[in-house]
Amino acid sequence: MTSQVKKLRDISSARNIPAPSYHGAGCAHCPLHTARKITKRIKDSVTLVLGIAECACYVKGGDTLFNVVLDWHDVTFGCKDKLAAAFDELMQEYEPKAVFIITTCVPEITGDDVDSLAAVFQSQYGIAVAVVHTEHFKTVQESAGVQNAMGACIEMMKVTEKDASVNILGQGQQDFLDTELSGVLKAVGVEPGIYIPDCSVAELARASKAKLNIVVDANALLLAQKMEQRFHIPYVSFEACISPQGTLEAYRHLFCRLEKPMPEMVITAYEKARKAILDIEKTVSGTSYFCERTQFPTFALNAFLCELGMMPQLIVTPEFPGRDSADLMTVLQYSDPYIAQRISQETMQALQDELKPDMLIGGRRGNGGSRRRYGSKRIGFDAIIEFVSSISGNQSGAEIKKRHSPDARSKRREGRRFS
Amino acid sequence: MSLIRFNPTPSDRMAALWLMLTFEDAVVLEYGPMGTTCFAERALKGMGLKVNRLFSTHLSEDDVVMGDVTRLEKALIEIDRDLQPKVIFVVPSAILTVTGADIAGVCHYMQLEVNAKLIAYDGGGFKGDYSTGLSDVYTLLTKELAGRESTPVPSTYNILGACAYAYKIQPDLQELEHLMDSTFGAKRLATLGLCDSTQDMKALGQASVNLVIRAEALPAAKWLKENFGTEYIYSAPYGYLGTLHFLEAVGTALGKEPDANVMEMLKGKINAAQNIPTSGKKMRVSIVGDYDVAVGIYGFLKSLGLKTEHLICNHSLGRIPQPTEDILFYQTERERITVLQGLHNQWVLADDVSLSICPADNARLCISAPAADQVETEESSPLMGIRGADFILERQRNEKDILLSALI
Repeated sequence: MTSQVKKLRDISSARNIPAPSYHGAGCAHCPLHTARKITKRIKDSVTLVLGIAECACYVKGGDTLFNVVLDWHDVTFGCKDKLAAAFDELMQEYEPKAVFIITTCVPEITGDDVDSLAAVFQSQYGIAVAVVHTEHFKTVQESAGVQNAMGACIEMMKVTEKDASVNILGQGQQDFLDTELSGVLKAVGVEPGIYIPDCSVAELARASKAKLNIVVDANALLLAQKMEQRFHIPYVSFEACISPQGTLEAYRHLFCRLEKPMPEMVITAYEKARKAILDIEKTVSGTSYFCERTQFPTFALNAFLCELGMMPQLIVTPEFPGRDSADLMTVLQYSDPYIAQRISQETMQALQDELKPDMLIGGRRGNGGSRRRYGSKRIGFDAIIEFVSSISGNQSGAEIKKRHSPDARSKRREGRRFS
Repeated sequence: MSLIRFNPTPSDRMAALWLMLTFEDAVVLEYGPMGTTCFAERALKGMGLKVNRLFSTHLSEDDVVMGDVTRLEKALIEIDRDLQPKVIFVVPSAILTVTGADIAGVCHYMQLEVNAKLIAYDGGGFKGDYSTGLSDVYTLLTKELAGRESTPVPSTYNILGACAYAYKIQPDLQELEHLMDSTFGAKRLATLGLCDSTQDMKALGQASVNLVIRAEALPAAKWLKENFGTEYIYSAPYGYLGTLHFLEAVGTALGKEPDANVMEMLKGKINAAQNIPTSGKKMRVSIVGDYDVAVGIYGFLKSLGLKTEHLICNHSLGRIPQPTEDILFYQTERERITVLQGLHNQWVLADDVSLSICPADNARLCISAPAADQVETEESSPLMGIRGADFILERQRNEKDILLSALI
């Protein structure tokens, strides 16, 4: 068996999860890329990327993006003067209402204190300045950029008078309006106030007036925690949950915080999700599968699938919940799958040839659950029903076996080998 | 004056990737975070490079802090075993350049463990801009991949100084090939910077003459002369007169008379080009681009009697031996923007970014990279040679009436 995988039972921490020695085309994004995706959604703000020329060249795009390019002199003597001069130019020419400074690997290695500089700029120019750290060598997860960018939004907020409004953290208004949660809130007369990150600098400044934050994406959790700490705003976590009971609990928690009775439509949706699961239980029981990234927390999803009688053979994830996690114990109670942080195309193919899974779930190759996006359009029981129906449609594995026929496999391998 | 608003100048490391990712039978292994590779893959795909030959080791904090190179060693062994490339180029990321990882040392001892030839590039983006990178990597590739065979094949030539980043490089190479074939019956052996395989590079020492079309390839040409005795000609043939001089120099190096018909046609075109109406010569021109493109076109327009107000180089001039005094490289983007925004009623020949900065009352022609807004086809006109001069002259005549009417 390849060194790229280990048995789940042998893993004690995220560091033990094996990773391939090299990654080919389709590597994970840099957190800089995902951080920029968030900061550009904050209207009236600009982003200043502090890094080498390569970072600046690759992340270019949009008229709210600026760069400070570091050279060897800055590495040796620090980038304070260069950054200060660039910031001054930026303020004189563009007069932005707020600035996100994204620091990349090199200033993080050299240890330039950009946070302190940002504080100086903030008082000097009288605008909000937030620093987003995106040191890629500390993580393999591109979502770190989203989390840090969302977390940095706290620096744009001011202390304001409280009202009864509710913030949505992790999703834009347009996407949110299509969700089940939006319909439920509407039914009880709750209109969300500010959607972070799809808001303006002025709206962000007023975000602290809310009485509750609803977190609809796990990447916004850091911001919710910071807001709770600084502005005493409680939050309800409504990120993707595969268990109907867990989703129902989230709704109960929400309505408890809103001090309103839970509408009947929630119970109806709960029953519908449970029925959908019961309907597929017999058909998917005994199905073996490989699981890559989905919109659901990996181990919660696998525990759920194990309880349905499915058999995980390989789990691809950089996340590890800890040895005492209930989800992990559930998975280990039923099986002992292989685990890998990431997996090369060749190894994936070799494992498929050997283990012959009936189903691929998640990732780019699989079905049964879309890839995790930043702010999924499905929130609540809808997400469960969608997932369940997508795996039930492919339980025979016929489509997968066809897609990975021996001919196609050998052709693909040949394409990457040189003679 | 350190704020970058538009495209930053690409670094030496990026230039290394442009040159190394042309080989079908080689792999480029980036020793650094995989996000850099992901970015590069997306950015370089549009340049026609073989991005599926680009791999990354990724890095953990431990590797950075403790200087552990096990990850690189394992990746080299696995790539050699899984993909069996002829060459593995190892390129460190900026982080490892800062921490001082000895990539060349690792490649030296790992060479005993793998079949592929290991070539390390030690620039992590801090050596300078892409001009520096091109110069260093042209030399590196030549030294490492040129074969030992030194018997020259008659009537053959190499082109030194091609690069996938250069605007209109493919039409330019076709035009050069056509010129050399029709004038001398000479055949191209290798194109340094755009070779399809490392095998093709072995022919570098066998040509009768090396044609250097970019100043950054001069050190490689000199190395080939020292080791194989191959003469080289540094001349990028822009304009009719430039092409004439180029062909005369090639004829001398090959010991062959240029084809009389081609030379007659060229002389005819030189005479015809002089007959621009006096009014057309009032047209003011500004040129921005890579050194050899900008200076070549500047010379052509000067021969037509046109006055160039600004001649700006897109990259530093440190690797250009004795650059012309007429050309300027602005250290800061602000200075450059000020000049470009001050251009009015001119014919501006530049890259796409510079053209986008110029006011709308200028006539524009893209001649240099970055050229993201341009569509290149196989039938695109070159900038070099006779067809290139025809194209530029045609554009000059089309634009002159518009510009002159604006001046009146």
